[in-house]
Amino acid sequence: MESSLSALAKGLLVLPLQWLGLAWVAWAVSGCLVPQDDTLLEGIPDRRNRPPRIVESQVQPTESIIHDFGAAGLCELDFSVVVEDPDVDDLITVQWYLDYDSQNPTGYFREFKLANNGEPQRGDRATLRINLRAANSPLSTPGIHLVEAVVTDTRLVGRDPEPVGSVVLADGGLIFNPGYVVTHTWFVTTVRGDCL
Amino acid sequence: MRRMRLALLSLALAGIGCAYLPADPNGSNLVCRNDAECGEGQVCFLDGCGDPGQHIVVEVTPNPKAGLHAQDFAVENLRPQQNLELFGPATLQGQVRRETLLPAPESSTTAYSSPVSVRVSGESLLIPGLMRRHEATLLPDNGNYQLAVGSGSYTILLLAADPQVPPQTAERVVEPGKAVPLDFLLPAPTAVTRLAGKVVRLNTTLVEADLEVQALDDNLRPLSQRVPVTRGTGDFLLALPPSAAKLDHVLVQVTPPRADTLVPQKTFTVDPRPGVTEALDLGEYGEPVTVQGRVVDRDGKPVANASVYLQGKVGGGGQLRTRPVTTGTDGRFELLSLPSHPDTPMTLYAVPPTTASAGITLQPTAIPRGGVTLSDIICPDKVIAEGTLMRPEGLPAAGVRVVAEPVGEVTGWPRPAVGTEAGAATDEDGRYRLRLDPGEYRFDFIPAENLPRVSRFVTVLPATNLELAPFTLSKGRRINGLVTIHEQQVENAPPGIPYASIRFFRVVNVEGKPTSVLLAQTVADSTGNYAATLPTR
Repeated sequence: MESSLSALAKGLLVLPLQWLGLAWVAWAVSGCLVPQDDTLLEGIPDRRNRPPRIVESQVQPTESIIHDFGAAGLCELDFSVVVEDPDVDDLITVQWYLDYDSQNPTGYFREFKLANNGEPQRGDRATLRINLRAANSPLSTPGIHLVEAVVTDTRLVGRDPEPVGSVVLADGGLIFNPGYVVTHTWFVTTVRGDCL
Repeated sequence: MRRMRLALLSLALAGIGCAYLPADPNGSNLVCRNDAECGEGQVCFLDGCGDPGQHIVVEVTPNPKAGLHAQDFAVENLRPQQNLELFGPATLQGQVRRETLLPAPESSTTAYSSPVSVRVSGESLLIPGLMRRHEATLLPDNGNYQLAVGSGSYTILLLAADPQVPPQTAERVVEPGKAVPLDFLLPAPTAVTRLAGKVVRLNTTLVEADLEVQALDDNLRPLSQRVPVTRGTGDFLLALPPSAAKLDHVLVQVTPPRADTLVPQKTFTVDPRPGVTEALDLGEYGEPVTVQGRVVDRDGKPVANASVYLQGKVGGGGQLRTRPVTTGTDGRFELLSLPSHPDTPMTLYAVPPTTASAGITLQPTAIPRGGVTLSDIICPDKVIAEGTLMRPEGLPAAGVRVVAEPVGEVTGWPRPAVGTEAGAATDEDGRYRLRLDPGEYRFDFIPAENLPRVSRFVTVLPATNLELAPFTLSKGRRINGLVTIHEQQVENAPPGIPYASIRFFRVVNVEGKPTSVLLAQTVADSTGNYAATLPTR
C-alpha cells in the first residue's frame, strides 16, 4: 500500500516537470520562428573590380616619339606592354590601334589575350611587330602615325569598357561594378627610305 | 644480314623523325614530335632534341625608364632557384666637339652644345636575331653626353638639329654594366663638303610638291641629313662630311615626305666633287590617274575591307607606292596612281583582312595614261594550316592558344604584315586550325595551365593546305628567383628590382644559322621575385 502511494506521488510530481519541459522546448523552437529585424544576405557580394595598369617602366619602345622609321635601316619596330592587375582571374585583353580616328572609327589592328598565370603581373608581353617590308604594312605611309595599346579587364564596346557586373539593391537601385581601360600611345614618323 | 640492314634502316628513319617532321606536304619543318623520341633527360625543341638546362640565355630588362636596359647572361646550368644578379646601367658616353679651324694640325675643337639626336640600333651579343634600339634627343652639357643602352653590338648615328651638320656614324660593342667611350667630332662648317642642286621634272619644270633630298653611300648609310627642297625654286643644299669630297660618287635620294603626294621616289648617282650637281630630273612621270576595280574571292564573291595599293616603276624611272585604299562591301575600290613605266608594269597588291578566307594576291598591272578600270582581281584562298597537339602524358591538349607570327617570306610572295591567332584554342581533340597567307611563320603554342610554351617554325607555301604532324607539349618545371643589382647600395631599400622583365631563350644553330627561340617570359613582382615555367622531362 505504502509503495503504491509512493508511486502515485512520484507520478504527480513528474507530470508538471514534463509539461514544463515541453513548454520550454516549444518556447525555444518558436523563438526561431519569430521574425527578426536583420536583413538576410543572399550571397557574398562580389568584390569591386580593380583596374589593370600598364607597367610604365617596361613599355617598349621607351621613347614615345619615334623619328625616321624607314630610314637608315630602321625597317622594323616592336611595340610592347606589360600589364599588372591585382585581380588575378581577370582576363586581360590588349588591343592595338593604329591611327585611330574617333570621327571614323575602325576596329583594332590586332588583339592579344594575356594568359593568366595566377600572378598580378601577367608574364606575357603584348607585342606588336611592325615591319615596313611586309605587304600592306600599316605604318608604311609616310607621315605621322599614332600607335596605341588599349588594355582592358572587361569587354570593350568600341573602345569603352562595359561594367563587369551589376547588383540590384532592395530599393530597386543598381550598382555597377565597373570595367576599366588604360592606354599607352606612341607617335611614329615614317619616312620613305629603303624599306619599301 | 638482311634483317640487320632493315633494323639499321628503321633506326636511321626514326632518328630523322626526331629532327624533321615529315608528315606535312612541304616536309621542311625542323621539329621532333615529342620528348619520348629524345634521349634520357632531353626535350624535343624546335631544333631537335636537347638538354633543357643547356644553351639557355636569359635576358633581363630591369627598368628601361630609369636607364636600366636589357642585359643578357648565358646560364650554364639552370637551377630551380635561379637568382639573377645584374650589373648597373650600361652607357655610351663621351663628348661631342666641333672643329673650328682648318687645316690640321692647326685645327682646334670646341664643345658642341646644341641639340643632337642619338640613334642606337643593333643586336644582342648573346641572343641571335634579338634587335635592340635606343633613341634620345640630347643637349650636350659643355659637349658631354651620356646615354644608357642595353648590352649589344650597335651602330650609332648622331644627327645634329642643324641640318648643315653632316651625320656621324660609329660602331660599338656594349657589355652589361660597362661605360663605353664614344666621342663625336663634327667637322668645321668650312670643312663640310657641300652639294648644291635642283630637282626638276622634264628638264626644267619645277615639281609642284614638297620633296626631301638626302645623300647616301653605296650601303645606303646616310652621308647627309634629309633636307627639304625649296618649293619655289627646286633648289637644295646638302652638307656631307669632308671625306665625301674624295668620293667619285654618292647616291642622292629624292623622296616625297607626304603620303598624298603623287611624285615618285628616285635615286641618282652624283659626283660630289664639283660641289654642284646638274639638275636631278625625275623625268616624265605623268599626271595622276584613277584606277578602279573589284576584288573577289575564288567563287567570285566580293571581298570587303581588303587593302589595295600599287607599287612599282613609273615613267622617268622612279618608284611609286600609292596610298592604300580599302574595298567596300561590294569589293570595289578606286585609287589614285601615276601611269606605270612603259616597259614595266606595276604590281597591284590586294590584301584581304585576316578574318577573310580569301588570301593576298599580287598582280602585274599596267597603268595607262588616262587611267583604267581593271577586270576582277581574284584572291586565292588562304592556306589552311592545321594539326594536333598532345599533352605530355599522351592525351589531346585542349584549350591551348595557337599564334602564328610571320618571320619571313617565301619566294614570290611578300612577307605577311600581321600575325594570326587561331579563332579558337585547341578543341577537345587537341586540334587547331589557322588560315594563313604564304610565308614563314613561328607557331607559338601557349597552354593555359602550368605547361611551358612551345614554338615551331613552319613554312606555308601557296596553294597547299598544310597538315602538320602532331606533336606533344613538354612538361614544365618551375624556375624562380630574385632579381637584384650587384652594386646597389641604397639604405633600407628592398634588394629586389621590381617589375623586371625576364625572358629565357634557347640559343642553337638551326640549319647552320644561329637562332634563338623564346622559351618563357615573365615579370618580377613588386619585390623583385619572379617565377617562370620552362620545359623539362
